[in-house]
Amino acid sequence: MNRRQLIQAMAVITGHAMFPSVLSSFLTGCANAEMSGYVPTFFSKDEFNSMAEIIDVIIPATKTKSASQVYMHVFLDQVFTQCLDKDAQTKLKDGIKDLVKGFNDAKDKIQYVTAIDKKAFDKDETVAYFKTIKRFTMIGFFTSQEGEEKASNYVKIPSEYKGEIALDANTLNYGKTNLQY
Amino acid sequence: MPFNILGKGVSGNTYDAIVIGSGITGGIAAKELTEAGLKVLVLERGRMVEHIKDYPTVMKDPWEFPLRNMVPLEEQKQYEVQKTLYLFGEDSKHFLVKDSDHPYIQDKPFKWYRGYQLGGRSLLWSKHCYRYSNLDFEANTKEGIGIDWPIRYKDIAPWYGKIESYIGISGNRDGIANLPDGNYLPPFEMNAFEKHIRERLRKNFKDRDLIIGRMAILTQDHNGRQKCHSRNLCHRGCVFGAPYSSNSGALPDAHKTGNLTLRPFSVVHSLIYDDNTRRIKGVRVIDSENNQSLEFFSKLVFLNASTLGSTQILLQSKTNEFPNGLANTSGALGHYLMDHHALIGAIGGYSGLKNSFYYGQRPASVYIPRFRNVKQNDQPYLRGFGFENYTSRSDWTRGFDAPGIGAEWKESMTKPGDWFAYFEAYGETLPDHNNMVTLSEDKKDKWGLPLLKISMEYRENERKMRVDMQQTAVDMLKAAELDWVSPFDYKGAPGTVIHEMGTARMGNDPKTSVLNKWNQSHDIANLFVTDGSCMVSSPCQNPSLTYMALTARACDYAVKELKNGSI
Repeated sequence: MNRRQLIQAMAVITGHAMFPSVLSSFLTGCANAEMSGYVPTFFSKDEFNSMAEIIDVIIPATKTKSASQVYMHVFLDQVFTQCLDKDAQTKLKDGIKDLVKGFNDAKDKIQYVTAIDKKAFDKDETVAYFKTIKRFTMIGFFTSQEGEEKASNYVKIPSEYKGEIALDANTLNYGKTNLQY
Repeated sequence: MPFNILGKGVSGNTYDAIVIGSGITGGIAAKELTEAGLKVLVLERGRMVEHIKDYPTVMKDPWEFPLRNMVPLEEQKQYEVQKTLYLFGEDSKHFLVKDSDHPYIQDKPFKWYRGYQLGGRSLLWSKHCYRYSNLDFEANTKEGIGIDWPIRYKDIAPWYGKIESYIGISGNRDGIANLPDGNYLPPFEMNAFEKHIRERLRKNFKDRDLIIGRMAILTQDHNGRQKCHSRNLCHRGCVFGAPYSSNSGALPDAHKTGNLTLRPFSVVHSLIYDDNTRRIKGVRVIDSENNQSLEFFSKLVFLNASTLGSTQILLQSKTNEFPNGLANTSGALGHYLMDHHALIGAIGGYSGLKNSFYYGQRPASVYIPRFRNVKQNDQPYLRGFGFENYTSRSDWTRGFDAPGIGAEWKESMTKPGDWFAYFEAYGETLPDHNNMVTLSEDKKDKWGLPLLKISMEYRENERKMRVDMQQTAVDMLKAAELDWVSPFDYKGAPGTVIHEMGTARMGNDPKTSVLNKWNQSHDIANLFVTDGSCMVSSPCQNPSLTYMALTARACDYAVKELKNGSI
């Protein structure tokens, strides 16, 4: 069932026309237009460009797109601007300065970010900010249209529940729909 | 469906009955009274929410939320309390009040979660529906706590059945004496991990069982509503009407009778008491959109404004005869506030059953009925607790807590992880005179009505019970052979469970209770209060089913009394 068929089916089921705003976003899909002209508010312009590279070390392109290909550096900039308090913002800003400098200086960028990640989960407080970056990069990516529909099995309307079905090594997890993290 | 909505500037209207509140009990009262032929006005302090039409986020995809359902901190400032609710987000905040618009006073920390709109919190409730038994109704008297319930199981059983058949509850008849079976639609299935746990619980503990939750969510089409399509997004509203709400059920059905009039934006100022007839003659309302004061009149008043809302209205409605709040000759009004205590238990993980999965997002959880102090009181505390348990294969959020980046790690995050179990205990709280609400003497809301001041704390019996709640969670998960088990205790303030109840309790004695066994005021014959405020104790099962059953029972009685001229 494609999107348009789904919309028609829903209209039949509910006996209601879908709301115009929902309908249009259904049809256009993810609105990534004009992202190239985005002006960051949390990151500096240089940090913003480096972050696009750093998040691609965390979530690189595989069978599915990379984090920056779905504009997760934009998402991080917006979330860090709007959803963190001043204290957390200050700590994160300091951390990002270190991270970006270290990243740009590093010969092996993957090795560098891997080491920071390891330290962060070894409870090294000096790089605790990395957990925040990783957490929100994951949230943003896996709930993007790419993350939901390609990196997950997104079923908008499962229609039924089955308690037990078989699973093999290739089975993707369901896309996240209940957005509490 | 276009409701018959009363416009602004209308006064002098007279109805057979006025129902104050349109939430889970107001809806039932409206339906029962209109179906009995009464002309009914439903007053709702909030806005209209029409089924389906007013569920703006119901069909949104995750990526349509710019911040992926997080709410900007600047906006969160308006939701100081509501933002702490487990399902607060961009997808649900329109069903929760802005605390900045509706302040109250926390004399002691108390989370008051509210949804001021048509349907109230019936749009957000957890939908667990369990009957109480005589273990619950007799406990106060047997233990010398508080006052006796004026009813027993046999009094409410047929009304449980009526409500269950009407709203549609999926569940299993499990044959557990202290959790009586009801009229159920087919249950949701358990997953393989839940069956694994159940088998080991049955083997290791003679007194307990894991059952599928009995939920007001349809597993087959029922009474004009459609079966669940397993999205597990009930809190956005549901286009299928599968989870019961006043909006999807009782209010449209009341409307069909032709006897219903709805008036949203109607903040109740007070009930109008007639000293001569000793009856309520009407309700004084402030139109929240234009601050106009209006009066409506009726022979019968049902107060269904939620536990604290109803008590607040009675406290506000002082007269010469009732200087401490209307219908309060007992002095019990405002006292004996209860909420369950929860947010304690254990979590665990299991790496077995790797080849088993499920299809769809089940909105029902599994449940362990109370097993403590059932046959006899043999614990260092009174009463007991039940468990609401959630299980699933873990998703990519497991990556938050462990190192890992890069291509291989990313691919691993796309696969279902180990099984995860969350066991949370819900315990009974004893009634205490000092757990209470009063009206502020100086602070007022924007309509000039005094703010409610809430003063409640959990006490010794609850504290003792919690030790056992956590330990039994750990013991059961260990007995289920999980790989790891970890206890938790988030110590939520009262109110957190959103099962606030009491403050206008029922009882046989007018000297110690506000309502009689029919939820009728001892003092004022045409006043009925049938929401959670009527509760005499707080049995650990989720309470809404009982409120609805008591409401239907009270409506039946009130209509008979009205017809025979007693009211």
